[in-house]
Amino acid sequence: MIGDITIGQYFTGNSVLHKIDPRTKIILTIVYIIILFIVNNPFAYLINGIFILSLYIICKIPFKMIFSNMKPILPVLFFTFLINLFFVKTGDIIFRFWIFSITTGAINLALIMIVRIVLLIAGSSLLTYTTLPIDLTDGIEILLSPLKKIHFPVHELAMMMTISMRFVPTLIDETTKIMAAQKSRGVDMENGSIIKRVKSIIPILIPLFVSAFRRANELSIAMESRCYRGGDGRTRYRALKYSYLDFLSIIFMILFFTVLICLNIFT
Amino acid sequence: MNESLIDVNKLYFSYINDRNEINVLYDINLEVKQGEFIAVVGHNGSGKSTFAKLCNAILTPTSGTIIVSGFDTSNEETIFEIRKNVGVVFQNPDNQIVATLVEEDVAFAPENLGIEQSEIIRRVDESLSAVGMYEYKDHAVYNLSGGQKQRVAIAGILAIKPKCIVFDEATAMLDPVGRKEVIEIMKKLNKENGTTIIHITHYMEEAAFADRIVVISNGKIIKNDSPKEVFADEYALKKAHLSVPQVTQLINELSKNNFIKPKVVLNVDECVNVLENLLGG
Amino acid sequence: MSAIELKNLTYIYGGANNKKIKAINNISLKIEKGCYVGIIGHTGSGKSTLIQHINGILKPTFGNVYINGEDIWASNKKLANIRTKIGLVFQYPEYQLFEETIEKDIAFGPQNLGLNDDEIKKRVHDACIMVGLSKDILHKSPFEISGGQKRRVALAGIIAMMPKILVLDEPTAGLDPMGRDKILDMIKDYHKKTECTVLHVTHSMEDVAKYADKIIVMNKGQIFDYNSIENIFKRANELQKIGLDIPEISQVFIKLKNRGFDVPTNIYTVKQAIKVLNSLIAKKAEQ
Repeated sequence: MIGDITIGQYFTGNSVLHKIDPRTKIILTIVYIIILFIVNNPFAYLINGIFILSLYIICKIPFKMIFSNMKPILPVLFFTFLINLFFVKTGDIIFRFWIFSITTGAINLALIMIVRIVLLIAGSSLLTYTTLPIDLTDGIEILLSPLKKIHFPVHELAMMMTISMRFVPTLIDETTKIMAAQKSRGVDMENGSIIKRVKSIIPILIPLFVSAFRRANELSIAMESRCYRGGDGRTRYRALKYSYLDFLSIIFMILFFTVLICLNIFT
Repeated sequence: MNESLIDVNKLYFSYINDRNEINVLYDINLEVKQGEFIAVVGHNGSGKSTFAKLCNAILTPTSGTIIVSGFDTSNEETIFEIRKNVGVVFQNPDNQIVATLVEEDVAFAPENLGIEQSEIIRRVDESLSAVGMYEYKDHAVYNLSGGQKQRVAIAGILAIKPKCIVFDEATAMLDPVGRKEVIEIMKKLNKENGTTIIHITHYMEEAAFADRIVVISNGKIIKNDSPKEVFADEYALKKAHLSVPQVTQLINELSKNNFIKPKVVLNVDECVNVLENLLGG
Repeated sequence: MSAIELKNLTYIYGGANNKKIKAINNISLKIEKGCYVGIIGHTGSGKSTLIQHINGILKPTFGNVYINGEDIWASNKKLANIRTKIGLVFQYPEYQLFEETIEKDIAFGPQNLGLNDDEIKKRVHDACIMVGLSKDILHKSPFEISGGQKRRVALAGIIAMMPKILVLDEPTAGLDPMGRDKILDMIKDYHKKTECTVLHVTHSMEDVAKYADKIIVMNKGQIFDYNSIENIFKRANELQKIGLDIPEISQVFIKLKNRGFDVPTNIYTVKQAIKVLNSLIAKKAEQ
C-alpha cells in the first residue's frame, strides 16, 4: 500500500494524455482553471463536464476516482455552498428567516461554485493521474527556468520536490516502526483523555525528527560525494520533447476554450 | 604492482566537541595501489568510516595529507577531480539514493558533472548492467530489497567511472543474501575492470579474500598485511574487538595441539583441504 | 501451559497494486515458559511479521494468539495489559530513544506501567547494571553517546519493564564482533536471572547456535522446522537449500562428509568441531 505513494496518484497507461509533454499539460491545466472561473454559463459547464468525463474514459481512469477525490474536500464544498447561499444578496428573495435571507442569485451562485470546484478537481487531477511525478517536476523546473534570471531558486525547488517524493514512503515506514516500538513500551494511543493522547505523540515525533535529520545529513554527504554542486552546469538524463501530439492538443484545447467563452458571451 | 592511487601521509584527524578535542585518527600512513582490493577492518568507533570520508574529500585531514591520483584532498579547487577518481558507497542504502526511479538515481552523478545526455544514457545502461539491475531500470527504488538498493547505489558510483570505490560498511545493514550480492559485485569489478576496492567492514569473513587487510583500532593502524599474516595473530585482533572466521579459529586451535603444523586458512574450502589431509593422509 | 501459543495464524496484507500477500500462512506453534528460542529465516520469510503478532502490534487475519493461555485479542483492555508483559526490542532500537536524559528514557516504559517513583528508580538502576551502563552517563542525552551505548540504553528501557517474554529482532545488527558478543551475553544473562521466555530473531545461525535452546526456522511464511538445535543442524544441508547461511564449521563438516569422510554433520561450534576431530584423529592413530 505504502509503496504506491512513490508514484503518487499516477495511473500507468498509454493514452494520448499520458503521451503529451508534461509542460503542455501543466499549461493547459492552468488555462483550464482560469477559463473555469471566467465562464458561468450552465451549457458551458455541461459541455465541460462531458469533456472531462470523456477524458477519464480515454485514460481508462475509473470514475470512482472523482468521488474519492471529492471526499476530503466535502466540508469545504459544504461551507462554500452555505456562504454563497446566505451572503449573496442578488436576485429575488425567496426565503427569509430571522436575519437570514436566501435569494435566487444566491442559489444560482452557490450551485455554480460547487460545480466549478468539482470540475476544477476532476480536471486538474487528470494531470497527476497521467503524468509521472518526475516528469511533473521536470516540467515545472523547465517552465519556471526563466525565473532563474531574477535569482529564483528553480533548480533547488525541483530538487526539493524530487527528494521529498523519494523520502515520503521511507518516512511513513519509519513512522509505523517507531509507533510499534513505542506501543510496546506502553504508549497507549487509542485510549485515555485527549491530553494523554496528544502527549503520546511526543515519543513518536521526536525520534522521527531525529531520524529525518540524520537521513538528511547522510543524504547530503552522499550527494556531495557524488559531485553535486547545485544546478549550475548540470545536464539532464531525461529530456522532455514536444511531439505532434502536443501541437494537436494545444489546437484542440484552444478551440474548446473558445467554444466555452463564446457560449458564455452569446447565451 | 601498478602506480599508487591513494597516498596517505602522516594523517591526523580530530574534531572539536563541547570544547574538547576528539582525536579520531592518528598518524595514518598508507599507500593504495591501482587495482588493489583492500579491506579496512576495525571496531565500531575505530575511525574507519572517517577514513572513507577522507578519501573522498568529504572531510579533510587536520594535519598530514591524502593524495588521490596526484591531487591533494585539502585543495578545494581539485575536489571534483578527486571525487571523479574515488567514489563512496555508504552504509545505509536508503540514505544515499536521491531519486525515486532506479535509472534517475544512477544518472545523478553524471548529471552533476555536466556530461552530455547521450553519454549519460549509455553510462546508466552500462552501470546498471554491471550490477545486474538493468531490468529494474524503471522501477521505484522504494520497492527494492536492501541488497538491490545497495546495487543501485553502486551503479550510481560506477556511472562516474571512478578508478577506486570505497565501500563504507556497505554490507553492514544487509541480510546474508544482500551481502553476498554486494560482495560478488566488488570482486567482479576488481577482477574484470581493475577497479581499486577499499572495503570497510567488521565482518572478518569479508576481509578474508582481500589482497591486503588494514586493521584500525582506536584510530591507529595496528596491522597492514596479507590476510594470512593478519589472521595468524588472533590475539591482536581480539584486543582490537575483532575476531577471526570460525574456520581460521579451528585450524589455529588444532595446530596448538600439534596435530598439524601452523597454517592460516581463510575460507571453508581451504579448511576442508587441511582436514582432508589430516584425516585421510 | 505454554508461554506463547499460536493457533492457525495467518496474516495477509495488501502489497503494491492491491496484490494480497500472505506473510504468514497458517502457523500453529507452542513455546514453553522459560525457553530461549531462536527464529531464523531469510528476509521475507515472515519472521518479523510473526513476532509482531506476539504483542499485538499486528492483528492476525485469521487465527489466535494466546499468551499464558489468554487470547490477546479478546478485549482491548486485555491487549494493553498483555503488551506490558512482553518486551519487544525492534531492529536498531536506538532509533526509538527520545527523552532528554538516558535516565528518563529508561524510566519511560516503567512509568507507563504506572509504577511508583521508588520502584521506577530501582528498576532503572537494575536495568543499567544488567546492560552494563555506568551510572555517570545517566544524566547525559541519549543522542550524545556512541551507537553501541545507545543500543544498550534502548535495551535497558525494555528490560526495566521486566517483561516475562522478551522478543528481540536482530539485536546485534551493525555491531562489531565484541559488541555483538556483549549484547548476546547480556540477553542470555537476563534470561537466566529472570527465567523469562526469549524469542530472538536473527540471520546468524552462529548466534542462535550459541545461545538458544530451540530454533524456529521460517520459510515462505511457514514454519520449516521447530526443534532443538541438535535436530535443526541435522538438517543443515536442507537449510542451505532454502537459502540460509549456516555456520562455516557446519559447511566444513558437510563438505567433509561429501568427500567420503564418516563425520557428523550437526556440528556448529569450534569447540564441538575440535572434540569430534580429536576423537577422529585418535581413532586414526589406533589403526
